[in-house]
Amino acid sequence: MSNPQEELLPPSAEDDELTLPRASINKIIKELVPTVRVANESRELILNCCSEFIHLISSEANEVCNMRNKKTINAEHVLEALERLGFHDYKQEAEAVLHDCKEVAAKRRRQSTRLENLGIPEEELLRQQQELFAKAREEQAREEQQQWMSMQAAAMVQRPPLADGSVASKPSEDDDDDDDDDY
Amino acid sequence: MDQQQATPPKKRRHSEYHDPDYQQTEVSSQDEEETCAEAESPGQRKWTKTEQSDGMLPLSDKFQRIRELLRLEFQREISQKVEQLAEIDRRLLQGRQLLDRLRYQVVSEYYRKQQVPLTGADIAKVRGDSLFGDDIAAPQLPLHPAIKKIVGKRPVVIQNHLPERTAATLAKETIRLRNPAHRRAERRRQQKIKEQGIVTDHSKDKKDQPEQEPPISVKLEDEQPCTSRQAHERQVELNASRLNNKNKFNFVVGNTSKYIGEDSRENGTGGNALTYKWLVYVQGKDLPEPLEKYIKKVRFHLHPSYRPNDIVDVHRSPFQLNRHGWGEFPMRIQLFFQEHLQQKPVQLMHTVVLDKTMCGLHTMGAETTVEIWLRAKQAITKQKSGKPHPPHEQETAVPAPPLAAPNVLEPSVFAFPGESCKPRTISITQNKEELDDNLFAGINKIELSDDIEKIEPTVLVSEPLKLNYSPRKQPPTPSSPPRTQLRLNAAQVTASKPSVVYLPVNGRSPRQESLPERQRQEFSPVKHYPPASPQRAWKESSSDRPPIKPVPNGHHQGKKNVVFQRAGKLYIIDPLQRKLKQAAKQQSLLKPQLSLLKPPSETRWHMLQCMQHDHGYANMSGEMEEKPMLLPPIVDTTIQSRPRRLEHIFRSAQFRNMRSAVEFLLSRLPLASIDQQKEYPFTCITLEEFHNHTALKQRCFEYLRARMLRRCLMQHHELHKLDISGKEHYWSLREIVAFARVHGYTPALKDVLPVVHEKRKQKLSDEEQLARRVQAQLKGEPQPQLSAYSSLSSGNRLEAWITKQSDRLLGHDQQMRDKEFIDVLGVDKPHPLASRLTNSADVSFQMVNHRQLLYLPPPKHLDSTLQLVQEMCKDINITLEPEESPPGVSQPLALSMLGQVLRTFIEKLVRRSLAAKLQQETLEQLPPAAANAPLCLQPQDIGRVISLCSELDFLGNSHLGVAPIEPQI
Repeated sequence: MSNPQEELLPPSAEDDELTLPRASINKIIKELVPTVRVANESRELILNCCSEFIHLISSEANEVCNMRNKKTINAEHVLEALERLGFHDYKQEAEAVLHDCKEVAAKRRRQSTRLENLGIPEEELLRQQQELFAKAREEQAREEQQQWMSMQAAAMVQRPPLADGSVASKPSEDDDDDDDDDY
Repeated sequence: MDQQQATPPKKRRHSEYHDPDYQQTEVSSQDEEETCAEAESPGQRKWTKTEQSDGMLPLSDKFQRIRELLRLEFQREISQKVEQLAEIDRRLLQGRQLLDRLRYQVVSEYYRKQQVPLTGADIAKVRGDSLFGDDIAAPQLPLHPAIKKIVGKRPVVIQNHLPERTAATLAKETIRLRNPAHRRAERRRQQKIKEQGIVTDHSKDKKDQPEQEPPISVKLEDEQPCTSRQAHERQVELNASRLNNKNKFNFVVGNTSKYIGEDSRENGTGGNALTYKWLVYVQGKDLPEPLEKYIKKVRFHLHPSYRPNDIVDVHRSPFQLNRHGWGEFPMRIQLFFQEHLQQKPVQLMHTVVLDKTMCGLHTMGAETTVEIWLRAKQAITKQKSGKPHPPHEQETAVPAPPLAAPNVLEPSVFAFPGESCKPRTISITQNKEELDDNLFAGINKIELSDDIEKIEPTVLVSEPLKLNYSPRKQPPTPSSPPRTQLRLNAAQVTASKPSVVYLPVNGRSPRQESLPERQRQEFSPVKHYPPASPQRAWKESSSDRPPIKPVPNGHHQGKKNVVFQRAGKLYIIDPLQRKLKQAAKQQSLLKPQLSLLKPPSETRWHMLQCMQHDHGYANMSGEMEEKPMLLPPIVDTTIQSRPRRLEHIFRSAQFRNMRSAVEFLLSRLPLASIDQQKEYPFTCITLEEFHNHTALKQRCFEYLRARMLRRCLMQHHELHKLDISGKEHYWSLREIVAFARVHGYTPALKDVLPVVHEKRKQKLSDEEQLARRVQAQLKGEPQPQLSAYSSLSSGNRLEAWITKQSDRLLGHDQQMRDKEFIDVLGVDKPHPLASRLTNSADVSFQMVNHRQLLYLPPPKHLDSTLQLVQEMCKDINITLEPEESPPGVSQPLALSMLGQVLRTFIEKLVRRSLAAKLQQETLEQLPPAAANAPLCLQPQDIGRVISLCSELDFLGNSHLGVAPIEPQI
């Protein structure tokens, strides 16, 4: 047990450098699993795993970039690296993020042109914001009413699945058997 | 000497010629002078002739020459007179036309006045007049008020009935009213006949007749051409306006006069000298039958100075009256018609005009013509014949008194002249009063009578004359000697040379007249016997008709005016309706005005949309874009719009496993949103809100998410293939819910021990802090974007505003960061501060990342991961720089992608470790949410997961080169 942990841990100099990333990892873990405790040791372990993962992907991307005879790593290079390494799921996530970024950029570009044309003072902008917020609140109230209606309907539908509880228990038992075998 | 001797024989001849004339008639001095002048002129001519010629031949030549000269002179005078007469005729025509116009106006005014009701005084006057009025005129007066009464009633009648019927009803009413008036009139007539002596008038008429014959014939010749012209013109004018049943007859009333001179005084008994002798006559023009057949008798009303013989009746033709007088005066004449004509007596006013030149010759005074419409045929109805029966009895007494009266009067005149003088004085005093009243009454009657159209022009002419001669009234006294003089004068006229031209005409006329006179004398007793009452009754009825016609016309006009007034009222109402319509239109106009309110609202909305689009905040821009879409459409549509985005992203992705797809969606469909964006009905803004809901509601949300997730899976193309191929099948709702709970995608649920509640509270507080941090960062982030990329003309204002906002937000950031350090466990506070200060380069990178990362939807998550990525890459000496995907924007796409990848790696690692740990603890029922269990991840758990997952082979060495089947964990 102690041997693999020691191997994974970085040296002391590295510890000093990684003090900052620990804070960021803590943030991430709380965002993902707010109600679960995470031991300090487990956090260090997760951090090390992440560093290995990034080193793997980034090095692969760098190789792809070099092959293309380019200086800067591009988004395409990263995607290609993920494919080579066999991380298909991660590729999907990456593509989604890329798509979102492009959309935001396009919107940003449009907005900039419009602002140049308009010479609206600050006061009016504030008023518009206030109006928009008020409208949003009204909409929320309406949506809540609709939710109540939909919740009532859903409650009725939810009863029959409860009768099927026995079916769900079986796959859990199978899983336990597998665990025992592994152990 | 010879000349002197010649003159006496010529003078003798002239004197011889004059002697018989002078002896025959007593010629005035003027006549003698004229004869002397005539004698002298031929004498002079003879002297000249005698000188030229000798013996008998010159005498005969002289006579011939004289005759020729005389003829020429007479022709000249005749032609001049003819011209004068023509001018006179023209002027008369003009005058008559003007008078006709006046008549029209007067009549119209008369009827207008009738519309106004009579006053008490007027009624009294009318009644008074009727009492003193003549018998014949009396019935006319009461008609006047009756007519007015009828006039008042007519508007009602005309409204209800036709004009024809109204005429009939009116006629009946008038007839009824006249019966009592007629009776009264007859009574008055009887009284007057008794008082006054008509017989004396008859005797006078007889005496005067032969004397008047020659001058009448002379005047007829002169008058004929003028009268014929006038008659023709009038016929053309008036035929159309008259009834068809009646025919037009023209009657002429005129007078002639002769100057007698002062010698007549000797003959006169007393008073002023009677210098004139005048004759009044009534004749017909172009009558088919003689005048006698139309006119029964004529009554002449003379000036009161002629009392007691001022009223004279002439029952025979010729209808003439001869008297001596000294002045002009208006005379009233009444024409009584035969019974069969059924005509009412007609009244005329004629002014006696005398010869002002005093030439001593018979001269034409004046003439007035009257047009009377009479019935040529006899039309008598039983009803009308029945009514006049009682008047027959009354009329039988009428002829008796005149026969008796003259007998009594005549002997008194001849036998006792002294006695006759005395009673005359008595009668004069009595009759004066009556006559004065009669004259005034007559005038009033004439104005009021129905025949106004015919009489008015004469009345107007006579008025000034009355005023002039009224003070000269004197009692005249006729005498026999002047009559004898008249006879002699006539003889002289016939004998004198200047009147030679008229001799044959005079001879013819008396012969013609003598014959009808004889016939009249023979039949005179028969005329007296026939009754006059039926004629009067018929005449009255016939006379009533003409007034009926004009009256209804006037009233028709008035009523038409009323009708027009009604029509006018209708027109008045129409514009009111128009006004109402206009008001309605105005009301309709209000509607478009209201509609006009909409466009400005639309414009405002459009402006708001523009503002929203133009707003400079990337994060806010998304929210603002969503909001306008929410307002106009229904909420359902808005929900559909959002999943479309997620579905679009989901479809574009290529999944090889159901599990990977489920994880992809669950990570994007949290029940408690971190960004405080409520995109789906089952998402809550904060965990507190989720916890506040009831247990059932929480489970409903959980279930709805699973439902939606399943739909997305069903729609995916590749997953559909997997299902068909049989490698993997779609997950059920239950499986999805369990997977979410076990892997920590579902937050804590209720139905748990109170201890758990306390833990929840602590967690909630932590989450609140996180939310605040997120808000602060979100607000602060857009500032550098604007500062970096905004190059606006009004940039100064925006920059100032941004700086203010940034100051506020920076304060928040500092506070949040301090809290962060407090929450971190096992970490020394001074170390991070020192490391930050030492690593200024890192700060610069972070700033750059902040600016660029502002474009990313979950910046907080990626910020923390990006820090790790950057540090990790430094170890390998790899630098990730931003890219310019669009031309004007640069984004760290590579960094962002690696950040996302790292995040997903951590997520999978942690969630799988949780699931593995829960599975160790065997549970038969549906597994509870990972959040509910008081778990603590240990390195052991993580290591176990690494050993199990093939994806993590690079960390472990358990499955090198081998690809085992992945469990459903």
